[in-house]
Amino acid sequence: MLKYAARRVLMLVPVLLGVTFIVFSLMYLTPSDPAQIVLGSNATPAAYAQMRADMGLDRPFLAQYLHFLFGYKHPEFGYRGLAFGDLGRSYVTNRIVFELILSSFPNTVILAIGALALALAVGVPVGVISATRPYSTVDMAFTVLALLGASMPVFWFAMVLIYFFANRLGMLPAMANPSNALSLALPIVTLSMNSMAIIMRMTRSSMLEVMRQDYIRTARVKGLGERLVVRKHALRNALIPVITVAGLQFGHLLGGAVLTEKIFSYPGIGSIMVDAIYQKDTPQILGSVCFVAIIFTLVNLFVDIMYGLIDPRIKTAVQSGRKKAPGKELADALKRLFRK
Amino acid sequence: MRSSASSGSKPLRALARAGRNLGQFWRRFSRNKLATASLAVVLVFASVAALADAFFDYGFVTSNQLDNAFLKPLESGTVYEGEAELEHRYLLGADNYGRDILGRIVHGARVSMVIGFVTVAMALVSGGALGALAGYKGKAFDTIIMRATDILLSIPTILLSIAIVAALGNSFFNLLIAISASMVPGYIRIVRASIITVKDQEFVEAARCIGASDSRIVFKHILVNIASPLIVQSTLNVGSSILWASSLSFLGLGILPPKPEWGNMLSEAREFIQYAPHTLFAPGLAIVVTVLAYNLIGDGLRDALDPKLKR
Repeated sequence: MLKYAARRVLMLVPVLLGVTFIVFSLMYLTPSDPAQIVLGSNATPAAYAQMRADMGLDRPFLAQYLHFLFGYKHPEFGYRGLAFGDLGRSYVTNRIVFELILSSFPNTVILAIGALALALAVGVPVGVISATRPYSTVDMAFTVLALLGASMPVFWFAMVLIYFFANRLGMLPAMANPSNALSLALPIVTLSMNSMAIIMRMTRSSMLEVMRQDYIRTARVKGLGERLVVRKHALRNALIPVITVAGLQFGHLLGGAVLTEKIFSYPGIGSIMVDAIYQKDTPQILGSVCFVAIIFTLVNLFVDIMYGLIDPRIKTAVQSGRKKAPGKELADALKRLFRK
Repeated sequence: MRSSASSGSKPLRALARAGRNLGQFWRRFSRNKLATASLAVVLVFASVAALADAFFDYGFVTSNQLDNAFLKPLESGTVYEGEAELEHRYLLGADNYGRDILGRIVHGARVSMVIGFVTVAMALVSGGALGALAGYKGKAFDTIIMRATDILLSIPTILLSIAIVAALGNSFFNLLIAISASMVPGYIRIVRASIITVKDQEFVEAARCIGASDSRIVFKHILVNIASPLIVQSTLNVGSSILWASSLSFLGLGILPPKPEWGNMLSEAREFIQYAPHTLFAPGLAIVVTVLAYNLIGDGLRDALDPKLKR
């Protein structure tokens, strides 16, 4: 198991390099020019050329990428690089890039934890109810509801909630703020909707699979009540893939809260990112996108390793030398999900 | 895969032979009432989108009629077209610029349908080709392509799309690239996994024995056998592509007003939720109904194409 975990951690290095490379290349292609943003549009060509040289923008692409990773030396525009958590200051707000990221990230974490908790609290019981009465009216109703949840645009759902709960009923604020617990209600509901649908479908399919197995029949034959069979025997095993999916969802919630945060004007990392994109603030975009991608990768890695710890069958499979490609768990989980 | 293949789950060949297999497939698909209804919904939307100009003039739905701003559904207002003054009934009301919401939804449907199909086609072709290369050739191809896929999957999809649009600039074509790029890894995975499961089976070996070329084997023999999961995935993806496009447009990174698109209509409605909720509900419902329909069709297709999976 340790060997497996160590290999997965080592695999992280090329993946993270690749992620930063993609994000950096995309920003490199951006038509906006940081030197022009700093100088404004009235600068002389000479001052402009000087500024490009000062910022290191006249260097070749690969050199700039290495600067981005491991630092750039300059009295005014220097920074220590992404590897050391320092990308200098934003060109637009002049704030330290990582200070802004680190101060807003906990807000996103609060939202994501709330959303995941709600998604599990509703998704798992509903999935179990569906699975114990497969193809009944109740099951069909929940299935359609789950599909509806997955088909609804997040931003639209958020606005409908705002209209009813903030504008019509005046019960909840339309703007969210981490210091006001009540104001978190609407963004958490919004954010959890998609995950709720996925967790519900996953619980249902996983329960259906488990309920068909022999040991469940054995438990019933022993004379155990249906409740006990479902709760103690079936659910425990059925929850393993659900926990994995929930973990992966957590990563998605951290990275995908962009729309929710934007609509509720919530000061999370998603808002920071979108604002940076609007303002063409290259260091801030690079910093926040890479930061989120790295967190996302780490969460997924953690989930994969935990999956092995929770389910002893996977541990033995790994120990017996079965090769497992990174991300295979995700593929398997999704396959299972799509299979119903 | 194989047992289902012999019972009419290969729509490509079924179409070629026409008749019997297609009828059998349709009988299975139409047993699913929700999926059949959804297919009807999609067909209606598609024909409305195709005939958008017959219902509403594009110039009319993109030009401001400020006198009519925020007219409620079913109210009428005077519309100026050049010199002419016309009385127009706004079936779904008017938006903040007095533009007909129904007209904008109808023209927006055209945009959404085009985006949905084109992005899926782009992702299917590029992801399919890469997946086939990885699965069929294996070795170095496999390693490189799959590592790249892992890297792409490590960036949350919405971030990837946002970053691509931000980098390449705000245009229709770049929006297509951004959306299809986020779907490519899915196709690479599906095609690669399916090819690996079928490529060592006897019928492929037999084809190789009679001297068929690699491309012939992949296209003529293997592709037909992995069509089912691809068709299902593509149907579901059309729905999510429409959802992505509207999300990006909502953020101001996709199709910008005055061009009608469901996402940017909602983005404009956002400021006026309190005064004019009707500007909010109709475009949102259009998205929900369309995406839901594609999801239900995808479900129905999965059951109809692969009866093994049912129950």
